[in-house]
Amino acid sequence: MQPRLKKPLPAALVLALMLANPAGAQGNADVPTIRVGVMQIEPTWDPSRTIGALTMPLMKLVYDSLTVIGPDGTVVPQLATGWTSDDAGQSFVFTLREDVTFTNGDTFDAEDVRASLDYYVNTPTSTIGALLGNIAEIIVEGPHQVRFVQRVPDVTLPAVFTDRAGMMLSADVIASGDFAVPVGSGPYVLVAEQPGVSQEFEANPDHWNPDNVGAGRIIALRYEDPVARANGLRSGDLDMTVVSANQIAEVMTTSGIQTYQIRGRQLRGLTLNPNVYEPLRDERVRRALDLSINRVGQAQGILLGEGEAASQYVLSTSPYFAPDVEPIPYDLDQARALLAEAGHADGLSFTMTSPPRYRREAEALQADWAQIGVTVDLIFPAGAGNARAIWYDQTVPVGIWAIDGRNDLGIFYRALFAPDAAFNPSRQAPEDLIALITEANTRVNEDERRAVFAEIAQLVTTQTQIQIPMSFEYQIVAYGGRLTNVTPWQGGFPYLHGVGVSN
Amino acid sequence: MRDQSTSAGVPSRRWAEFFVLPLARFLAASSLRAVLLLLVISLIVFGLNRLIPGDPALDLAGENATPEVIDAIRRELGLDRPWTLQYGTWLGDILTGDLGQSIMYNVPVVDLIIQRLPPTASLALVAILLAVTFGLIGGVAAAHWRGQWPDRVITAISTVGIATPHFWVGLILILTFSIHFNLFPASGYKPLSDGIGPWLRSLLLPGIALSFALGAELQRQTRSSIADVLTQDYIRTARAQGLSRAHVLWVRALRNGSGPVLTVIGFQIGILIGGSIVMEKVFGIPGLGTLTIEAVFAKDLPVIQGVVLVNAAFVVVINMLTDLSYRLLNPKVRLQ
Repeated sequence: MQPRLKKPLPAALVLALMLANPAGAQGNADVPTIRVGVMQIEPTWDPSRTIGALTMPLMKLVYDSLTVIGPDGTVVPQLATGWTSDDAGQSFVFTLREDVTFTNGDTFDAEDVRASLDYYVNTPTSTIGALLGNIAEIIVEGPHQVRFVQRVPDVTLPAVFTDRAGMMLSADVIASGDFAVPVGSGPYVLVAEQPGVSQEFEANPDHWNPDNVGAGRIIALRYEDPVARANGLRSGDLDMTVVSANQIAEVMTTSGIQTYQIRGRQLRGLTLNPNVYEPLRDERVRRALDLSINRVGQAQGILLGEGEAASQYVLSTSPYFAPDVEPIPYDLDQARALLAEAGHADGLSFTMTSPPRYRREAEALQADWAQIGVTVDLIFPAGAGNARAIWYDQTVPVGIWAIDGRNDLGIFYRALFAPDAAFNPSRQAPEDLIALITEANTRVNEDERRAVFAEIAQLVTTQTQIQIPMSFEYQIVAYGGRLTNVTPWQGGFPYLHGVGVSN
Repeated sequence: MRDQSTSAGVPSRRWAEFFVLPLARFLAASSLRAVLLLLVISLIVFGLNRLIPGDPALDLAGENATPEVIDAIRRELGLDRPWTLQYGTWLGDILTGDLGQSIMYNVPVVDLIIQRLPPTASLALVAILLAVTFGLIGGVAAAHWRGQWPDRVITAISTVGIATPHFWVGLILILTFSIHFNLFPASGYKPLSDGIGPWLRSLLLPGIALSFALGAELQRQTRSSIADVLTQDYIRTARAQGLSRAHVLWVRALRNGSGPVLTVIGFQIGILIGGSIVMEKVFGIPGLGTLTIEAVFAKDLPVIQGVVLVNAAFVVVINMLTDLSYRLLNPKVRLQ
């Protein structure tokens, strides 16, 4: 007797029903939901424990800050309605909004500002205390007015508050020390999360600016793999994500997908450490290395046009860009001559470290420098290994970095060149450059400040320092046709304030 | 009159002597070996972790790190203590079911594993079911029609399956069934609590991709094993007794030829768990594989140790079950 498959039809029907039900893929269809694919999800809701500015936009769905970067890249008010400084940046008086409540019902006032900043500065493990190191005193002048007295005059304070250090917490929450469930005043409220995997937010009905609340629910999903992110967008699993330059053409073949660029947040460059490799102390050697970097080639060949060559530390579209300053030339003959003049006609040999994701840039540099007789051994440490090798353990003479362009050019220069800056391992700080950076950060008048930045640009493009800018990589945000009111915000990804969704 | 108690007692004693006692001895010895093995593995993992470059305190200190903050974080995590003390504490905690606290996420490792295990286990389950289905049916069919066209077709499919990288198969499936036909999600995982339909839909494409090589390997092994059994005298006898061809093939031959197949399944399950890491990446599935990669890059030692230990325990249990199934299926092994 032949064995037979029993009841094949019911089995097939059950399987078909199981496969046909797509409800779970879209979540609750009643609530307009945005699904966004992100590269990283911050593992903490305590701003003093955050590891970088990359994940800040997601945190800002929940936390408001005193100031924010506006769509055009300038500093604009958020929980502060405005600020003044009548002593050239020695102190600032911030006026606060009066209509803000935290999601635990507490009213936001000046005491919350003081408690938040005290907490950020005085917590021993605080990762953002250094951003506020110049604040000497916080004086509550009224329920909605705070004065910040600084150790040295510095006009960049409003820009500092656009970063994590400006996120405002409830004084009661700080006293309790419980940050497991975030209490903020932002447009959304965290309702669920899986560490490192997803975060789910719902609209905050009591937010002080309803225009910021465009969707009923936002689900942020972590997709580390760029191909998975692009596929998620193309198949409709995601509404918004970041794609690579080489994926743009592919994702645009799917109907309804649009893109915008975030320019100027990621500057790639080099740190040179003369303490590790003595020849780098000679400016002629540094200049030779600088002159033999094919910046335009990198922007076109590696970034595929989704970036630009950088001789200055700001984008060419920034108000602080100095258009009259010539870009650093690509001049191999002059580079060889400088090396010979410095006594290295036979070339040099050293090790360079790079994050694995910038392998192509590192190999391009290796090829560039080989043309002037410089031999480079490349290493690609994983995780924080690159930062450790360049800035902390100082085991390599040259390293590639990609640093968030910061919120203000003055802050960026200080982070790279100040003698006590974390990104300046050799502590080499030319007096004239430091004097100019200090001067730029004390100029209240914008025109005067711009003029000082032009002087700095002239200096760093004609005399190669221990930092060398190479290129700006644009971040490309791609989003589906369901999204409405998308703003090409330059402050980071994802910016979902006011973004809506049509079903 | 025959003594009923004696006649009933003899088979009971024989059952105990030839089945229960050897089985109990086997289970006791296997369990002891497993515990010792896991202990050695934990020590090796702990030692190897020391060799991974990087510093979790530096990772957590972020981009504005100062040496003071890095030191404070290191003290808070207990990373400044001697490694022997760290290992001893960790081992002691394991005995109470505590795998430690994740450095990266600041939550218990057990919680993280419990959250990330279902996607990986589900993916492995779907892949194994698909692979076993194809492997057994294809293998038996190929053995039955040995040398004929069905055998050649099935063997060709298996050769392609073994030779094709599963991430590539995954990408092709996404492009075809997710993006072009929009039948299945291209990424993400739906838990079983969302319904069996969404759960299966989210796993079918990665499951097919992951099962490709395993199914092919199983098919080849089954074909070879069954083909060998089909030449045995007892098969000819069974046919001569009038048993149907299907019964001989699917019951007699498959049962006697399943030993090597079980070995392959047991061995491949461990590989499957490793292979699922790539599939999780391609399909954006937040499973144990993804967690492991994150933990290695962040040098989150408690998570690495926890995940490796759980994986090792899983493989050890699978091996034990494979050995056990040998004994149940094959009386000769049972008596050894």
